[in-house]
Amino acid sequence: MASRNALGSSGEKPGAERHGGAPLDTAHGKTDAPATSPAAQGGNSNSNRAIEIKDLVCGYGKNQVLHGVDFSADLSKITAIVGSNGSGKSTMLKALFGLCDVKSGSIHALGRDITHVPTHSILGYGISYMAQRKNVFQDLTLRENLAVVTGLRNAEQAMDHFPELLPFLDRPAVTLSGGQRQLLAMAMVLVHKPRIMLFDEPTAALSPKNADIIIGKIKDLNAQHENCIVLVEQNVKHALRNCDKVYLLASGNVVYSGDPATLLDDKDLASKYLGMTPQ
Amino acid sequence: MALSAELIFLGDLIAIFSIYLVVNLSLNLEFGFGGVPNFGKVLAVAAGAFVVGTIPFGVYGLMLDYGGLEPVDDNIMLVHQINAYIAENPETVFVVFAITLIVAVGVGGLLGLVSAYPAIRLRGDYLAITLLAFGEIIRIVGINYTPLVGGTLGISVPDMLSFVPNEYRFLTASFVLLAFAGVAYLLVARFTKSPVGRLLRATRDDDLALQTLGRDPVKVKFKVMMLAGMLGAVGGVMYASYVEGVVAFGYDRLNWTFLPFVMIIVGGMANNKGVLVGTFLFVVIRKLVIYYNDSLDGLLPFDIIWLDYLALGGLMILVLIFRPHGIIPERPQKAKDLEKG
Amino acid sequence: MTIILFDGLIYASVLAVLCVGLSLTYKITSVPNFAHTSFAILGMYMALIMSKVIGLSVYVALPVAFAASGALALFMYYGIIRILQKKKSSLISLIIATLAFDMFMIGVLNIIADGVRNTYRVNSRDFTLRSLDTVIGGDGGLPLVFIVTIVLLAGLALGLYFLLYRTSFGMSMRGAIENESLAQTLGINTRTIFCFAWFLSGGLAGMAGVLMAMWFQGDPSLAAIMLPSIFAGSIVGGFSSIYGAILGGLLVGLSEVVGTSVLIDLLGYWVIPYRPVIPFIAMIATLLVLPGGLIQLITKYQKRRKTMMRKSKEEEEGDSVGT
Ligand SMILES: Nc1ncnc2c1ncn2[C@@H]1O[C@H](COP(=O)(O)OP(=O)(O)OP(=O)(O)O)[C@@H](O)[C@H]1O
Ligand SMILES: [Mg+2]
Repeated sequence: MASRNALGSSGEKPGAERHGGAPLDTAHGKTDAPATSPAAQGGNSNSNRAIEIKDLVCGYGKNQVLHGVDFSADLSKITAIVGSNGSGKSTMLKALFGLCDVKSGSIHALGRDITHVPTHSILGYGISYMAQRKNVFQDLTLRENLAVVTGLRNAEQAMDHFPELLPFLDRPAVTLSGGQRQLLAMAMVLVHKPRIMLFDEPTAALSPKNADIIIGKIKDLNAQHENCIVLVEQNVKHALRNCDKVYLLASGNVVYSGDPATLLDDKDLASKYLGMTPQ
Repeated sequence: MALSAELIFLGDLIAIFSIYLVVNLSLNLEFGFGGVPNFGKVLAVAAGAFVVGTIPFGVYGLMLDYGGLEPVDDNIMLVHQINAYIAENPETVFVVFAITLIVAVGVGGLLGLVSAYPAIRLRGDYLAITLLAFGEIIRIVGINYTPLVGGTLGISVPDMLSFVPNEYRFLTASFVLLAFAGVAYLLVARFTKSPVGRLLRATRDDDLALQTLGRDPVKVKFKVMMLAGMLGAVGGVMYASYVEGVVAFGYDRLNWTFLPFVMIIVGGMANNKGVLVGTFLFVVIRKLVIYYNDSLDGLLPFDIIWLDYLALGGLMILVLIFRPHGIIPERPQKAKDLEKG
Repeated sequence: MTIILFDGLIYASVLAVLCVGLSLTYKITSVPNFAHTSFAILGMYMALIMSKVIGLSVYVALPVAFAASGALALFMYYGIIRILQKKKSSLISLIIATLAFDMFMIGVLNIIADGVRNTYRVNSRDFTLRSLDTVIGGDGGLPLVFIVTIVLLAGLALGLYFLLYRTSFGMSMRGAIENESLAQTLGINTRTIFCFAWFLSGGLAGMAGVLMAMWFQGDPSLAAIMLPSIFAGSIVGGFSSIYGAILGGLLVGLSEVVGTSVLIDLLGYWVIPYRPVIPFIAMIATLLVLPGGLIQLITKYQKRRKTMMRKSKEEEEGDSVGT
């Protein structure tokens, strides 16, 4: 099992930091990644800890989805979350972004408590989130989509890493193909150069070729910038091949966490939750 | 013998309570159970009242010679003449009132069907707007088409109880109305407990469920809207008969749409007992306010009637925020209730 | 004839301004606001108070009404609508809340009207401020309010276009309207944007009210009388389209004024009181026949043209992400 090292109370100033981390100015692309937090350095064994979720209970209204989940992810690593449909993968990412109702538990990012931070401020803590569905504004053109995040003047610049989108700059996003849309969503999410990136099924419904392009981009990001990447994947083989650590969710509980290779070896789990026939 | 002030207060309370109970039951039927937010409740009520403003004149016209008097133009004289006739021939009242009621129920049912048409085609907000518009149109017609109910001035209608000796007349009216309300309550309670009623509630927000249970949602909706329209019209008949007159201005959104909504929401939706409680509570409060209002008159630099609007609007908002399910919340329906249906 | 022209154009423009506000808040909150006209009536009384009580030019009332009605709308949104939405109230509850707020405002506005009359001895019901207006070119010339009204509407149309399509704030606004949670995850404070839009919507209605009182009449009862017309305008245009609202508002306003005068010629004066039926008919017909409104017709046509153009283009480009 992966270490469940708590962030510890050592370097953390709970009350003071709750809303204290003034959201950085996000409207004009000036966000710098926040300095590594004191907590992450504060004498903990793991100074690379990016996300720490403890005993999270959350859901939508009365419908409880996650029943006390622990989760952690490190910088420079790709952490994958797998599980069957409806197991709560997306909900976990949404909880990080304040998009579902957290009943108990805590969420820390880079050492700061973000459990109750309003959604629109979370970006300021150096985290970005690419949703599973509806992750671009359909009615807006590509340029306008980017302008929402960068301001009008820098919109085109944000495309530097996505030259394949340039020809469509002034087309409404609704007219893009699925893969192009995912790329646009990625471009929008990366504008602020976040240290932590959450991707919810970025390759869903894409052809293998396009999926490879997207995963390639994500791996590049990881290699170049020592970011923490959390990847929710439906395609287990894909996920396990590319990640450093994996969480397996079933009905809102973590049933496995740790090394991806071990998960594949565990015939019991693999056949039960991943639908892989034991050889 | 003059009635004491307390007795008048009580009699009026019973009458107004009975009238609103009928209207609210009808709104609860279509809104609480049927899921159709009828923001044009006033339509059926006004229709019922307008029938009272026309039919009795017509029917009595067959029985006695008006001597050229016109219901609208010579209203007071004619009503006087008819009332005198009623006092001598009380038995005619039952016939005339029965005819009036039947016509009103027919018109109300018809209007219910008309309202059901958008209720089937439109959803949510568009439906609300359309129904609201229906309710406004009848008022515009009533106010401007003088031959109907006297236009802006309104008309008086024959007093169906003019055969009752004067000292009993007032209280008799109250108890007749209460009897009407009682019958309406029992009928509605029976309907909502019937298989169709239970089905209705279960499938209020979900036409598909209704279909899977083998019912045609369109038919069910038409039926409910028709029943509600009929009942609403009965409420209108009761009110117009009680105040012995019809003034189109009085059939406005506040009194006959908004107020019923407030009462059933405060009482508890889709719940006949809740309607009973909500109606009673509001009628009593409003009566008390009006009763004591007179003492405030002159102290304030404005007409106190506007406080009524402030209070009702404000209260409704507070209830929606703090007690959205009313005093008696809707009882969750058990699955086995449905299977019986 | 010129009177009909002034009547028609001023009324239609005022209506269009009101429709824009109504559609804007509908787009944002998905709730038809039945209290929208009360913002306009507040503006009317700001005009009365500024001119007859305080003795300033009526045009001073424009910014004052903008601020006052804007604040009222903001209060309604922040103090009522948003709270109910947070509690996940049903659409019907929200509609009832706006009706309730309308009732409340009827009380408030009538109290203001009574108060002004009783305290300052100023006629505060069915009042008109037309005599205070400047007429350019002397008697029979061009009333200033006519120009101001047209300029306001044109400015609004252009200003909204500039805001929504030429500034990143406007793009965030459109984004937030389309998909609130996505906008939030991208760091946009949607609450601020929505508050701004409600303020704008209320403020515009307030200004419309001032202009209304300067040409027609001002009275609390106009809230209920004008409500069907602005709903008709917005719906005829296509309820969630800003430009549809302008189109619909102008159309309904003109058809009310011109239609009535034509009907008077044809049928006689008895038709006058039935004027309010015109917007009802327009509205109900639109809802039952073309629920998407006029704008749906227009965009459908545009879309068909665009897809045809795109198809031929894509055949050349191919369709892939990779390069
Ligand atoms: N907005 C919502 N409101 C209510 N319930 C929801 C909502 N979103 C998801 N759920 C419920 O929460 C549970 C978990 O959903 P979630 O989206 O987290 O699953 P997932 O693991 O991401 O599935 P998938 O692989 O299909 O994306 C499901 O049972 C779903 O029905
Ligand atoms: Mg998911």
